[in-house]
This record gives sequence, C-alpha cells and structure tokens, in this order.
Amino acid sequence: MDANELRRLISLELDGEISPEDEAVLMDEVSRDPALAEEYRAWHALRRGFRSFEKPSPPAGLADRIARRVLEGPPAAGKRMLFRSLPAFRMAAGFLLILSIGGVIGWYLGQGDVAAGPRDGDQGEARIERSIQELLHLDGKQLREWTRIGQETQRELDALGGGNLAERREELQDLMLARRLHLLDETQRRTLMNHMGLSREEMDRLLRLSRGR
Amino acid sequence: MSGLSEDEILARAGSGDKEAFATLVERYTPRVFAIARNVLGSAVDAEDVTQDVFFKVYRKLGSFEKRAAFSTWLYRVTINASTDFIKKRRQEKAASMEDMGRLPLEDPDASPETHLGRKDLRRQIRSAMAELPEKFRTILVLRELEELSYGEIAEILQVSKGTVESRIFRARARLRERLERALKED
Repeated sequence: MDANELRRLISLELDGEISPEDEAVLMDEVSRDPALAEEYRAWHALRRGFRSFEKPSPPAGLADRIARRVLEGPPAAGKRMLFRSLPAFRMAAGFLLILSIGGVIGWYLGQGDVAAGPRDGDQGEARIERSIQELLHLDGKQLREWTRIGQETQRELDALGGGNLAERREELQDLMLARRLHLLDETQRRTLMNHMGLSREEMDRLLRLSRGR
Repeated sequence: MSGLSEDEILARAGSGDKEAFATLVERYTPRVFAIARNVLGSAVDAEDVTQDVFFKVYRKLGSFEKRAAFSTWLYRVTINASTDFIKKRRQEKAASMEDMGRLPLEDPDASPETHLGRKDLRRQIRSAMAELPEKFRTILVLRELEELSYGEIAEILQVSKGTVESRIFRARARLRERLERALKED
C-alpha cells in the first residue's frame, strides 16, 4: 500500500469511516513505520486543533434585526452596510462596552466621521463613511458639524477615567448621537430611524437630550 | 411559540406567520452565522450572509419540501450563500486576494489563553484554512467544525459520499502541507 493510500486511511480513521480490515492494516503500518506514525500523530493533532476552536457567536441582537428586516421586505442597496457594520467594528474602535441601543448607535455613528478618512487597515470604517453619506445625503455644513461632534466625543471618550466607565461611555455615545440627530432634518431623521430600528420615543428622547446640552 | 415542535413552527412560518418566522430566525441564527463565519473568515461578512440566508428562507419556505431535514436544507442555503458571496466579492474585486487571506485572521479566541501552544495552533490552522480553495475550506468547516457525517455533508453539498471522502482527504492533505510550510517559515 503506498503512502498516499495510507494517508487516505488515516483520514477515514479520523472520521470513523474506516473498515475494520483497513484499520488493522493501517495500525500495523503505523506501528512499523516511524514516518507514517509521525504523519498519523500530525493528522490527529490537526483534529485536536480544530476541536479546540470555539464556535463563533453572532453579535447580540443579530437575530432580532434580521427577523425585523426580512419581515419588512428585501433590503435596499444602501441598507446592508449600516445593518452589518454596527457590531462588527466595535472592537476596531476600542469600545468594548456596548450597552444600550442608544449607546450602540452612538458608537456606530461615532465611527462614521465622513471627513476623517479611514484608519490604516480598517476598510470597514471607510465603508461606513460611504454608507452614511449615501444614506443621509449630508450637505457640506452637516458633514463638517457631524465630523466635529465625532472628534469632540472621541476626545472626551479618550479622556475618560475613574469609575463607572461603561456608563459614562454610554452616556457620551448617546449624547453624540443626540447632537448629530439635531443636525438632521426630519426626513433624514426618519431615514436613520428606520434603518436603525429606533422607535419614535427613542428618537424624541435623544432629541430632548441634545437640547439639554 | 417555544412550546411548538420544529415542524409546527415551519408550517406556520411557511404559511406567513411572522412570529413563527422570527422564532426560526432566533433558533437558527447562531448556526448559520457560525458556518458563514468559518467559511468566510469574517464576522462582518458572516452577518451579511446570515441576513441573505434568512431572506432566501423566507422566500422559499412556502415551497420547502420535507425531502430533507430543515437543518440540512438550511446548511445548503448557507453554504451556497457563502460561496456566492465569495464569488461576488472576487468579481467586484472589493476584496483582493490579500483580503481573503487576511480576514480569517480575525481572532475569535479573545479569551485569555493559558495554553499558548494550542492558541498558536488554532491561529495557524485559521491562517492555513484561509489559503485553501473555497471548496476545501467549506468541506473542512462542515466536517471538522460542524462535525457532520459524510452522509450529511453529501446531502448538503449534493455530491456522493465518495466525493465527500475524497474531498475531505485532499483538503486535509493540503491543509497539512500549508501548516508544515508555515511552521518551517516560522
């Protein structure tokens, strides 16, 4: 039996698909041939490596968002980016504590500084930038203000220290969203609201928050 | 809704019951996402594909014939959607080959790892997987990570068991070659 055929038997043995006769042949060869024994150990090590993988978990709320979107109807071209980008770039931004819907959206919008340009190696942010531009059709003045609020919030986030970090981050992120919402006209707000699944009440709460600042 | 059997939920969802469909999405999103994530190597892309899968399921559920288990059908839809996604990305050149290799290096093993050797092995396997042709990567995901039998894989990919056996063997051999090369380069 040639080496390739013996490797094929190792593969079958790994999967419990080998016949008793072939298994006996394989084990006999393995016991006599050190190179094959090494091969055998390597294939089993590979299996152990695979089995040590943790199953990837979907981001929190993904099922709900998908169900809502599917039941609403097929996605428009521009919707996909916003939808998918929300949880995926948390880590890239370094915001590890994502709490409320407002916090999440606030963070998300915070990464969409349309004038800031993508960071090295983070194509996702560039995609978000384009998505926001396409989605909201920000004019030049809105764009500048949007960017300024994002940068200002980022500085405040960077300067955070002491206790209750998660809560204060969330507050800042909510506030950033609130201030940015304030820049938008009613049509833009409705667009954003629909895309992000924000309720009217949540939107109103955020607008009240922006007026209080 | 949680007290209903899968068949009952499927029947209701197929006849337009939105709550039943939402229950299906809730129940199967983790599995769909995990497969897509492992095939595509990117959590971001996996979210997109997961959404696409459920759009397809929603459209086709009414005509779903129970010749196969729902989970088998769902695996097939997920694999096809992931494959389509890869092809589309290549066509659009939105993802260069460099990207396709880089994305799987997103490390989901974020928890502290005391056994560094094992973590390194996982990382190297992921890296080597990223370099495999899509059909090899897919079959290894189904066998090694989803732990499906040859029969189940054959049904999902709609190929013979012999093809499954041979493809798994070739995929493993290719993966091992790449790992060996990587170890020598290290």
